[in-house]
Amino acid sequence: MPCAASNPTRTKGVRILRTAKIIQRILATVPIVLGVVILVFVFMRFIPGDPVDLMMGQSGNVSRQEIADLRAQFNLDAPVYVQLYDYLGKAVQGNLGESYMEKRPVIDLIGQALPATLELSLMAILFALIVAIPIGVYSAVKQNSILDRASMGISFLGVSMPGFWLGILLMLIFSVKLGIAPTQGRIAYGTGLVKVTGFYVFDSILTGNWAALRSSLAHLILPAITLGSPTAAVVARVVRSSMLEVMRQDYIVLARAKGLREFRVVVRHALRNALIPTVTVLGTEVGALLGGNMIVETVFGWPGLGRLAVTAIFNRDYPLVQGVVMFYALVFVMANLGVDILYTYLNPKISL
Amino acid sequence: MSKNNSAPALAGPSADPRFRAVRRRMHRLLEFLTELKGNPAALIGLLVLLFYIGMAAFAPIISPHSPVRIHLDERLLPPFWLPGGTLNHPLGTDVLGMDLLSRIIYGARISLAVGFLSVGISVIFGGILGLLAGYFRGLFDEIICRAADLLLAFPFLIFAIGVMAFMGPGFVNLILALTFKGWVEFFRLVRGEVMAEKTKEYVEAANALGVSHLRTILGEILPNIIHSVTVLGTLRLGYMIIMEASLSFLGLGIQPPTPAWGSMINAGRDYMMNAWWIATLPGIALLILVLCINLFGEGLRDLSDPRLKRN
Amino acid sequence: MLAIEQLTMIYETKRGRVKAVNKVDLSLGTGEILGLVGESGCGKSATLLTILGLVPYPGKVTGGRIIFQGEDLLQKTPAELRKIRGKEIAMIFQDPMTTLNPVFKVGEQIRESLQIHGLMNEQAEGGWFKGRKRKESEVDRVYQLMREVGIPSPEKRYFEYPFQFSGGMQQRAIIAIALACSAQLLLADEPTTALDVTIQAQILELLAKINRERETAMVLVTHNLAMAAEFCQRIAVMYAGEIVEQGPTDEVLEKPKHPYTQGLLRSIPRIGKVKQKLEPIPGTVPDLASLEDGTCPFYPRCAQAQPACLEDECTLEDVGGGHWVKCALYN
Ligand SMILES: Nc1ncnc2c1ncn2[C@@H]1O[C@H](COP(=O)(O)OP(=O)(O)O)[C@@H](O)[C@H]1O
Ligand SMILES: [Mg+2]
Repeated sequence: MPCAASNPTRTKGVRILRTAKIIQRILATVPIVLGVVILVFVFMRFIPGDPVDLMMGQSGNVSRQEIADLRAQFNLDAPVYVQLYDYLGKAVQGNLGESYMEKRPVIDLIGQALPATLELSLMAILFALIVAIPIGVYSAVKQNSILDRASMGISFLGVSMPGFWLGILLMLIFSVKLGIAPTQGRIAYGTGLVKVTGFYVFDSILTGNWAALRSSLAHLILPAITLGSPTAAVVARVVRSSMLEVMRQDYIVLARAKGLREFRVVVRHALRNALIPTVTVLGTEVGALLGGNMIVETVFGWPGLGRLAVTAIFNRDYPLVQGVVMFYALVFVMANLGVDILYTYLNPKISL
Repeated sequence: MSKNNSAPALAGPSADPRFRAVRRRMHRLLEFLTELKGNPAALIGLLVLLFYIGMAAFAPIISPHSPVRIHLDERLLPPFWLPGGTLNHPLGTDVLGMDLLSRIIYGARISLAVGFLSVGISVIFGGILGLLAGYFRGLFDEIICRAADLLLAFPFLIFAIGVMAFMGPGFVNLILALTFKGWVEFFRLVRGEVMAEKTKEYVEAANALGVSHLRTILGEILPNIIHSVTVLGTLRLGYMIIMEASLSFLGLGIQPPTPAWGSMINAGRDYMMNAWWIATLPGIALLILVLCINLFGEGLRDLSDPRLKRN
Repeated sequence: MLAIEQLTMIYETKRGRVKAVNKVDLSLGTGEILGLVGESGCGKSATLLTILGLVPYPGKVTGGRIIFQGEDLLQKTPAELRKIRGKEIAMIFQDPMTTLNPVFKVGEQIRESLQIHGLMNEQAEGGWFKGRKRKESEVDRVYQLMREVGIPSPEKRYFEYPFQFSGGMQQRAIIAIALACSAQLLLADEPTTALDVTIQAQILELLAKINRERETAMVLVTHNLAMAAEFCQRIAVMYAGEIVEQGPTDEVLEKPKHPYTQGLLRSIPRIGKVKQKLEPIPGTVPDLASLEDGTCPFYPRCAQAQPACLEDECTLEDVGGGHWVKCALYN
């Protein structure tokens, strides 16, 4: 009996291994984060002209003295590595510079736009998962049924659909033709919503403002569907294929032999296993979601980070562009970290 | 692919790895075309892709008008099947009276050119780096891998938007922005496959026979990984075309009046109330193209997936 | 307690109808152990799964009866069958390493059986803490079961995942699941095939103990005749979906009637016979999709084949002493 000899640290062992793995994973992101900041900084230096020239190009006549002051303020006469060091030091403290246009710290502008983007993104993820997981499960259980074929066809369409065009199509149908959804913004004027957290749906529930809730949900639904659809398509396909794989396994036969209801077999015993491969694709999907943000916010006039970035690009507001791009990359890195941690929790068989 | 037919042969012309590679590829092409008959979706995908390529190639001959000619007296005409539409402008006109059908036909040029060029350059760049890194490993491999990891920390579109924001719009910049990050996936694929192939006996045998590294890479490894690169390349083609359209839509890619589907859709947004076709029709052209490329790509992948072949 | 009559189960595949279980007759008394032997692919697993009503996807039961404690299982509704599965009839599988669900704790997987058959309900009196109390009593019962099947320190191993168990321990856990509701009938599908030889003996000993102490009836599928000889009161030999010989262990092994059984016995070394030549049966099990009705499926491999084998389909005939054979030689 090789394994009968009991090892008292065994159960604890899983937890320790898992913690070690997570810490290791967190540490591995540090150089990536650093690299991202440096890369964005280097890119800034590569563009022709320095930030002061660019600013001058916009604000017209300025005196020599002012230019010299600005150069000193941006530390532009120092060697590049000093600038980089300086920049990193500031970035660590959350100081990403000041927007040319708004004359306000970049980090403040990001903070202001963030709740809108988060609200939209969370709703999109929620939509994607709520739609995609049941469809994927059902398609696998009723393989080759009409519903399976139809939903896999639609999801293939969803994978190939350009997000911005889907948004325009939805807008055309539901806003222009049917007139049942607003086209732009987060909320109608005059609902008198008191902003607490910046998440309008949450704020309106918090303050019991039902008119505001209705309005903000109505504004949210089309952008959320547009943003979430590609993810939903991918998730549905992955859930289906991993469910098909899992349903063939011996432990499903055992679950049935125990006398479980088919629903419990599918949802508890099969889906729980099928979610493990599904979580790994969520990492890449977060990237698509973040990129999709810029598009969807532009289409639906959603006042979030994506629109902030696009506006900043057209205003040649480089510190703001730099800040938002960096912020997106950091969110992406963190999201992937989160996905990896979730993975170690879903899969007890962590290997080091 | 099977080891015995590629194990270093004894003598004769077939001992030349290049010769064998060509023959193998020809053989595979034939095999591929016959197998494609069993997958109607992939076949349709290929045919539609070829149709778009033909459309792009012969755009000046088949398009009824110049794509950039302004007819201010024929602004916002609807497609021919709607009241007020004419067969002179079968798909209607935009706000400057430019013929939509002609613009859509010419738009295929931009989409396909950007798609093929960005994928092609990514394949070459990533492929060469992957071959070298995977074959020789060492410090070089380490450095390129770190660079790839760093680029993977950016979502694709965000990265492309950032690059375009700094470099400014335009065809060349667009391709640069897409390939700056596009090479990473081909690098990883090729590197992984080279590392796997390297351990196989025919490569070791070639080394033992004193065949030079370069010859081994080109003659033995390359033909064996070309298939998976083709599959990934096809699937990335559709993705790059969507990226181009997205950037053009945001005003960061191809600028009007040059006909690109993304910027046409963007221009149509302001006229959705009274001229829905301006934003809708280029999108349909784009969707069909990407859909068919993906159908073809998935078909290719299924053909190469031995698991599916067995069933 | 179990009587199977003319049971037929067919897989409808693209290649044709695979008669995986073909007019099978089996019977089993309380506390009895029946060995079901035969080469791979001759429908042993299919028979057990059909008894449980768990025919895998393209399969269909096309005829026969499965009388369990006086009632035909084939007439039961799915809900009634679920109450029998795991509670009255339990099953043990061939490959323990893939039979436990990898993402749940082993103890929880054993407890699930107790939970869904509501075994501990009556022990917990009402009140708001009923659920909690029930869970406690279930966990205690799981500890007890784990101890009974020989899993040491259950208080700890309850909380481990299957990958932390060795194959033998996993098989013990699966046996604990089968015992959870004190099933009267245990279907064991090659329970030792995937295990090391030393572990095999332990698992068999455990099954023998369960049979002794609980009077659980068992169907033991195996292709190991020596194991069947040691363990079973009666043996049924299966070939290409059919039962070809059935009878008391000694009868079948000492005086095999069917040429297939004789061939099987010649192909394994036997204790006591020193100078023995091992002769494998020539050929392989035929493709069950291409069998013709009415002919003996063993005909192409049979040394004693004769024209009569191709004419009428024979039936299981009693050759005396509860020994049944299906062969033209004895018809
Ligand atoms: N899902 C299936 N579809 C079609 N045929 C099957 C399926 N599962 C098993 N079979 C066939 O049924 C026959 C009996 O299989 P099985 O009961 O597993 O045999 P045993 O357990 O005796 O080795 C085999 O010939 C096998 O090929
Ligand atoms: Mg079996």
